[in-house]
Amino acid sequence: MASHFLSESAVQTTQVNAVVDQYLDRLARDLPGTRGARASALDEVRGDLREAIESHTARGLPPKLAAGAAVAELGPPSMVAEAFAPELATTQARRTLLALLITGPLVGLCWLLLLAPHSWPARPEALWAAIPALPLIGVAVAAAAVILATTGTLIRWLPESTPGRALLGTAGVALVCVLGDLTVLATLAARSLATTWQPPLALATVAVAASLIRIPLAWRAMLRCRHSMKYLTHIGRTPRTKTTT
Amino acid sequence: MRAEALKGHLDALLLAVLEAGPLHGYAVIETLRAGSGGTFDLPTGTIYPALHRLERAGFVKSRWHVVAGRRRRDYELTSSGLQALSNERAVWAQFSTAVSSLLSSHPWLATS
Repeated sequence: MASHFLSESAVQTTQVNAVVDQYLDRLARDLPGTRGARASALDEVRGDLREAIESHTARGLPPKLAAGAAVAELGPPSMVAEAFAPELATTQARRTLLALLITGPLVGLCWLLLLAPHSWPARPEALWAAIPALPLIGVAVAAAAVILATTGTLIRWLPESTPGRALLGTAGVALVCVLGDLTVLATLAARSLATTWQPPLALATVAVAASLIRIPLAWRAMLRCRHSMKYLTHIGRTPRTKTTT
Repeated sequence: MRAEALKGHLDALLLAVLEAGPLHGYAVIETLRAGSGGTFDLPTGTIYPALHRLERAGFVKSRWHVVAGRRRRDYELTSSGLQALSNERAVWAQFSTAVSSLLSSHPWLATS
C-alpha cells in the first residue's frame, strides 16, 4: 500500500516536472538576449512556477492540473518571451557596454605607452597624430556613457533610451572598438616598417595580443546586438497572441 | 481588464504591492489580483519585465533566496521607490478627481 502511494507520488512529480520542463524549454527557445540574462530569467520563472503549483495544490487541485494552471497563468511562452525582450535587450546593451568600458582602458593604456610620443604632455596634438584612433575612442566612450545614463538609475530624471536605440548605440560602440583596434595595429605596423623605430617587444606583444583578442569579441558583441535588434523589430510587427485576461 | 489599460499605471501598482514588504514575482501577481478584486488579472509572465525595469531605475532591489531547495527572487522597495510611490499617489489622486468630476453626470450642462 505504502509503495503504491509512493509510486503514485513519483508519477505525479514526473508529470509536474514534465509540464514545467516543457514550458521552460519553449520559453528558453524564444527568449532573446545574452545567455546569462536568459538563464536568470528562466531561473526566476522556474522558481515562481513551483510556487504557483504549490499554491494551486494547497487549494485542492491535483498536481498535474495545478501545473497546468500555473503554466496558464504565466501566459504562452512566446508572449512571455516578447514581454521580456525589451528588458533583456537593454540588459544586453548595458552589459556589453560595461565590458567594453572596463577592458577599453586596459587595452588603451598599452597602446598609449607604446605609441605616444615622449613630448605628448606638452604637445597634445602630437598624441593625436601618433594615435589616430583617439577621436574614435572619445566618441565611443561618450556614446557609451550616454547610453548607460539613459538606461540606468538616471532614467528617473533623464528620458529613457528605447531598447532598440540602446542596442544600436552599443553595436556602434562595439564597431568603433574594432575600428580603433585595427587602426592602432595598422599604425604600429606602418611605423615599424617605415622607420627605424623599434617598439619595446614585451609591451608591443601585450598590446597586439589585447587588440587581437578584443577584435573578435567586440565584433561578436556587435552581431549579437544586431540579432537582438532584428528580434525586437520582428515582435514589433507580430501581433500579440493574448493581451486580455 | 485589457493589459493596455494598465499601461502607465503598472509601475505604481507594483510599487504599491511591494510597499508591505518583499515579495517574489508570483506573490506580486497574486497580491495584485487579490487587491484589485480580480480586476487586474494579468499573465504572470508579463510582470517580470516591469519588475526588472523598476529595479534598473533603482525603485526596487531584488535578492535571490533558496527556499525549499529552489532559487527564488524576492523584490523589495527602496527608499527611492517609496518616494516614487508617494509621488504616484499624489498624481493619481489629482488625476482621478479630475476624471471623476468630468465623467460624472452634470445635468446643469445639458440645461445651460
